Amino acid sequence: MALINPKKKEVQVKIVYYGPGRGGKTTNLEYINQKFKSRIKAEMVTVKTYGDRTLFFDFLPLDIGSINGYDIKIQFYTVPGQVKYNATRKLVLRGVDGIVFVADSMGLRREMNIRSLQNLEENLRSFNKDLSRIPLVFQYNKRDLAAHNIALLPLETMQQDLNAKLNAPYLEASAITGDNVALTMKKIISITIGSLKKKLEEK
Amino acid sequence: MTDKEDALSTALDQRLDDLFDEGNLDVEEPKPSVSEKSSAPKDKPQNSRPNNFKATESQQPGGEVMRGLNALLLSMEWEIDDSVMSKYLAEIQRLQELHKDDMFFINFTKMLESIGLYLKRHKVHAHQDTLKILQEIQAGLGLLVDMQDSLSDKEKKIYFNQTYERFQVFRKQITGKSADVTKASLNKNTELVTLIRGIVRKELAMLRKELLEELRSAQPKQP
Repeated sequence: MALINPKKKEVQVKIVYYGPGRGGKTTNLEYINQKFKSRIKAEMVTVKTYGDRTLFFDFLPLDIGSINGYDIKIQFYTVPGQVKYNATRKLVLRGVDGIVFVADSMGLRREMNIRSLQNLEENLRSFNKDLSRIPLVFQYNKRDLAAHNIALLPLETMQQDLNAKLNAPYLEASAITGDNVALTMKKIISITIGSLKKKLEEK
Repeated sequence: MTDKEDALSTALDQRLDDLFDEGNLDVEEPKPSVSEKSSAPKDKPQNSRPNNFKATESQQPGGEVMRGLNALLLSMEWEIDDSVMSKYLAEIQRLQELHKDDMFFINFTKMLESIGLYLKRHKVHAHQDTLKILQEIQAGLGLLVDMQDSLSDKEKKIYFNQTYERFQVFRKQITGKSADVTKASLNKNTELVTLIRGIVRKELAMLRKELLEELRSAQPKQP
């Protein structure tokens, strides 16, 4: 749950980019960090291992200013995609308010997308959280590869594999070219803040 | 939706639109981050391809022949378990059977098989470069398949030898490391045993001396 400081009138929201290894989670944040650097005014923290893989996590803070008298600060995290780092993924997921699931559109990655989503569900379950009750956006990444004659999964297949039950908002994107990267971020911020507000009103 | 809720979402949407308005930016297009620059090989131009992952995943050297093997190698990026490794080794055997008359193909796959067996045994505890080497050799085999008709046997041999050297260096890294560890631990054990022996001998000698003295003092003195 988000950290709300009524004294300081500050809300801290945690959004995690989840998905299989090499799917483009870090590239999403890097794009935002580079493209909107002058507006974000914060540094992205990233720890990489050999071969440019995320070792621990990436972290990008984003201050979106005051809304309704509350200063809203968003913290974006990515998780390492490789299976051996599941303990880190669990740790990063703790207290998550919203999730972007970055799925890889390449045909060869179909099974990995499914397994990564299952892994997300399992990890959330260990915190007694239900994925269907958490703000979620699917990003079907690497769509630009179609222009390079690379076999991609049809949108319908990806929807059927990943989003049939959850029925969450989804976007086709290319993190490397920036297509729909900002839109994905806008979408997840918007639905996460909306959901938080609703939860607070219910209490 | 109430007016209050509506006002909040409108304010939020407006703020997000302002923040992520791509049409009114005073900065340049994204450039590779510092960490990317420092980790990228110097001899390769930055962003020469639309994305780094394409270099290994999208070209898929070897085409249809290598399709199964390439897919299995990709799945190792996600998880290295017995099932994946058994499938990988079985696919190698299938290809070896299909190409049994092609000496270069067989020799390349023998290297893959050897690393595959090592990986199956050690999984995530394998040497950190294992997947990288496997990718390199497999990509090498893929290129050999792609260029089969345009390379002479001599050229193929040179190409194979280069890859084989790389394989040998890796093998030495693994075996050398374990041999060094064993040797070092053996040396340590010998030192420890010598030290303990020394202490025990010293204590026994002292005990013997004390006993002798006791015996001597217990003996009645002759008049």
